[in-house]
Amino acid sequence: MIPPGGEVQKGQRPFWPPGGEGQEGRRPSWPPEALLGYLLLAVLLAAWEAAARMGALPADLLPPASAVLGELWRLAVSGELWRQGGATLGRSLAGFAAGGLLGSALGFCCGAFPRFGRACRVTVEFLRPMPSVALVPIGILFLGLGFGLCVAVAGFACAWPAYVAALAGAGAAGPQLRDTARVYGLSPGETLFFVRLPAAAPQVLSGLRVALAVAVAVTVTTEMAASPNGLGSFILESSLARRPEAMYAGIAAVGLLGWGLGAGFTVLRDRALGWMPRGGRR
Amino acid sequence: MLRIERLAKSYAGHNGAASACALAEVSFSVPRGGFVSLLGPSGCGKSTLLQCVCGLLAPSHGRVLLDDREVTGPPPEMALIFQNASASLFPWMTVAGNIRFVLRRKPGSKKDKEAVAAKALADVGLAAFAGHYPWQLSGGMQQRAALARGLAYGADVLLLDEPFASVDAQTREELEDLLAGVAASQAKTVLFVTHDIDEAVYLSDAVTVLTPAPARVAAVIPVDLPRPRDQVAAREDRRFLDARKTIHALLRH
Repeated sequence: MIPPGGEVQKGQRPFWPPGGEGQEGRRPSWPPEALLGYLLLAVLLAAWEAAARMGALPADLLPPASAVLGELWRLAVSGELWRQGGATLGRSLAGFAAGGLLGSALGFCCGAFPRFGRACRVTVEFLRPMPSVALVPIGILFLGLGFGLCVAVAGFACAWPAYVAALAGAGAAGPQLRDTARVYGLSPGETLFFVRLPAAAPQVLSGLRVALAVAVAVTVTTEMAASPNGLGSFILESSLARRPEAMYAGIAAVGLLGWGLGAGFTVLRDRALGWMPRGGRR
Repeated sequence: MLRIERLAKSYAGHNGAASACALAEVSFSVPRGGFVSLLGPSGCGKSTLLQCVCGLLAPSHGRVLLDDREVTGPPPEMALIFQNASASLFPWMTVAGNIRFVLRRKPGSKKDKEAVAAKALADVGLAAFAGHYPWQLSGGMQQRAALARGLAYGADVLLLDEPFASVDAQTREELEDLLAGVAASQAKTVLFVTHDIDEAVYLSDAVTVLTPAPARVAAVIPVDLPRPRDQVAAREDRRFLDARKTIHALLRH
């Protein structure tokens, strides 16, 4: 762009645009955008390591970060991490698929069909605050220990965030959008499927993102209470066996699992919502 | 021919409140290929009337006849363009996608429909924006896209609910001329709701003036200005000024 008032001399800041905020005028930032999110984590790990090395932390309760990472590496090499993590991953995903789907469908139907919504409301509000772990004893009676139990409890827990988001999402297609559909000859069924459902998608997907994290957390909790294997069980057993490195390594593995699933989900969600302005996705 | 016969609409009151009467008794007609504006004070029931005309709302009394057939639901010969295009364009579809979507029930191959969509977008000057999403367009361009969708739908009758109320003055003049042009060249029958006297007179063959709510027809003012009209010359014409003055007097009380 040629600024009003003449050419820009080499090395001189252009007075237009104001502030020199042109495309090429922006200073490279430090740290680079891609690494910004990892900086805080690195600082916390370094502080932990330093505190442990200086003897500020009791080694039998909180070993240094490097020891925990080393244990995580050993567990990965021995295959233990993949066995336990794989069990947790499978249960989390199965619980998420069942609970997320049922919760979203129920929420959307409750929002789209007000009479159905009123019929369901009391029951839903009774079940929704129920702590999922309270269902473990019932689950044990019906399903025994292991896969089915974890999937059922995780599915129950993660259905509710999906339900709440889909309930709100069902109203996202405003009256004018629905009138537009009617004017252009869409039947009520077509309007539901081609207008209300896609309009609800951003909120439904936000709810599912929360549900995914809940599924992982509740699977691990259920494994602690009632499973012979999985990361939850591994963490609890390591604690009882006084193996803090292994316990913290298990906890770190849960964090990594949740982070990886969340990142993967975000990629899929952004692909599905490619039509939205970038700032509109959360 | 679009005939509105003794149309009345009252809304049931909420929580025991008395029912509210929006339209007392409204009768007028729009001849085939004619351009009629509906003008009335704010809140007089213009939008309610338009919703009854296109079959979105059932009237309490009276009826709407389109070519002597009673309108009971949105007929395929009508398209309604809303005031706020950003709330009536499907945001997850591109501009061309919005048009193709309303054509899905129409006969014809996919290729034909794409041609229809492309033609409608060219007619409103949006040919280069077919692949854009509505949020990427300005308010005026969104309104053009909504108009293109109505044109592509093939409706003979266009109903417009204050379509240019939320765009700036310059864009508004452009859109007025665009609408007048396509209405003339495609022989559309237009019922145009507005609260702007100048806009109503500039665009219309006749202006139907409504009373405050509950609405009745106060008067029908014919505007016999030659077409095509020019934004500057038409507004200086004696006939324009006379119509404007008459309508102003009607709306005063």
